[in-house]
Amino acid sequence: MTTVLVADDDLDIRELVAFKLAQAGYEVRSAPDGAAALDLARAGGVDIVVLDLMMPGLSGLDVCAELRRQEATADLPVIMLTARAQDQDVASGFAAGADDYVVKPFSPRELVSRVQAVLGRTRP
Amino acid sequence: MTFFAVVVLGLVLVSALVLALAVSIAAVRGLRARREAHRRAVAEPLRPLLLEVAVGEGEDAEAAADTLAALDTAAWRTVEPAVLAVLGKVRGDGQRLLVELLAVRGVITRERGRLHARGAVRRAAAAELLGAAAYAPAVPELAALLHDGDPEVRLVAARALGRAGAPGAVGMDAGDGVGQAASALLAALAGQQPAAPPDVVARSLMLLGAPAAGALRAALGAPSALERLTAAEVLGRLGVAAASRDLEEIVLRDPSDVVRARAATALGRIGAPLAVSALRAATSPTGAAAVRRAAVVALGEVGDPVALRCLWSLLDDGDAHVADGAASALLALGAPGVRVLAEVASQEQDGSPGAVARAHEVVACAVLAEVLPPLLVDEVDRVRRAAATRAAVVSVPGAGPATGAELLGVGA
Repeated sequence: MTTVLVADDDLDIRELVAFKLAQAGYEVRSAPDGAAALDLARAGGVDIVVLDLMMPGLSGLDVCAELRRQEATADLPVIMLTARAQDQDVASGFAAGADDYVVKPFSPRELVSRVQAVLGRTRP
Repeated sequence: MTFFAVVVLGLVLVSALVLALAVSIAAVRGLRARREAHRRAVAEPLRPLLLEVAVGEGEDAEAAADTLAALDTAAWRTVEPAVLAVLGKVRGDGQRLLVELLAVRGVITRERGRLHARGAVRRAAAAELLGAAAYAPAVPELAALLHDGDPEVRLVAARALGRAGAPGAVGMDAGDGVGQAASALLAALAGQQPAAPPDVVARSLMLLGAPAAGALRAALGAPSALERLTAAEVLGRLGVAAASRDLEEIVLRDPSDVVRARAATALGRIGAPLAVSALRAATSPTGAAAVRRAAVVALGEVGDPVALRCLWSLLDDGDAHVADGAASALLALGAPGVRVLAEVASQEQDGSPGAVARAHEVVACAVLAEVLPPLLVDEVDRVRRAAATRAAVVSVPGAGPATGAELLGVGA
């Protein structure tokens, strides 16, 4: 089963995303901050990460850049999920290595489609 | 009674009071904790139903919404804060179902009533909720709130209009909610003191998107410079090509330098080739510095080689910002612009020192930063070699630097 790591400091968002992804047949692991997200990603078994941009401590950009730096997680697909929708925010997300960008408030159905699309693009 | 006895009695009384206060605080806290535990005990089992509604897909979501709609009043009270908390976090079917649920439970009607409450905090909270709900039928009331006496309420109303007036808002089918919201937001900028912060208004207008173009174009003719400026900015960011002609008029004729500059920037963002003529005119040496600088950058963004000669002539402009902008704009034009820059950079003997240095710097940086495609790098080398050959034969009668016509690839 494909495993999605969801990192967001907002409990509602974490639960909504997890609920929708579980409905769509994914296994979901959740992290309330950047450090926990990195730990879970490094532990392995994660196929894709849905990452909030603004989290306490390590931001989503930091986590994404760190994932890209480490060999084991360098190719892990990342979707940014964030309320910051300015052009420069989107550009920063992609510059940090994100594969896609979803703006809050988000459509759960669209998020699942993006997860499927990114997995389809990035899987060998 | 002795003085000592009075003091002791006083101390005993104070201690008793402190003790009573501590006991009552603990009791209130205990009651609150108990109430919260009870609320959680009732609300937790209902959480999956709420999530089902919020993801908003299929019959399961509809059934969950029906179940929540049928809760008794006490149970609903425990769930309502959670419903309101997720309301502004989703869009699409989930948002629609949540708003329908709130409407059935009377929350929407209650909050619309609170828009007229005496307390500013209540009015602001109601506007915030209706904005989070993206509830289009409330657009007229939110628009009216832009004239509220309290600045915080006006700010929240401006923000809420961006969501309640947006094309995907709940109940947007009836009437022109987008146009109403856009007109109200723009009108909020009129007068000596804007009713809401211009950046908040601009962000809300951006959320309204292209369907607000009519109101935005109309605002380009408004008496308020701030209104015209904001309209130009948003039209540019939205990329409304249909507004190009209006923006050209603004670039050429608006009485405010700031508005003309913003309209030039907007034309660049839109990338309208037909606007090159107006933008070239705006670079005239007699024009305001802000307008010239914006026009030069916009010429690069439009990317039409028709601007080559104009930008070339600006490489040694007296305003360093304009000259730098011209060099960058030439780079943005691609092959023809790079060819001109490389040629100017090669004219160390004959060219204007400022222009040569500027062109050299821009080309060198572009090559070093590897932003030029290989074909353009080859083009730069070819022009440099040609310039070196010309320099070698410059003593031959009739030989000399390349003419402008040669560089631009047109007949002399």
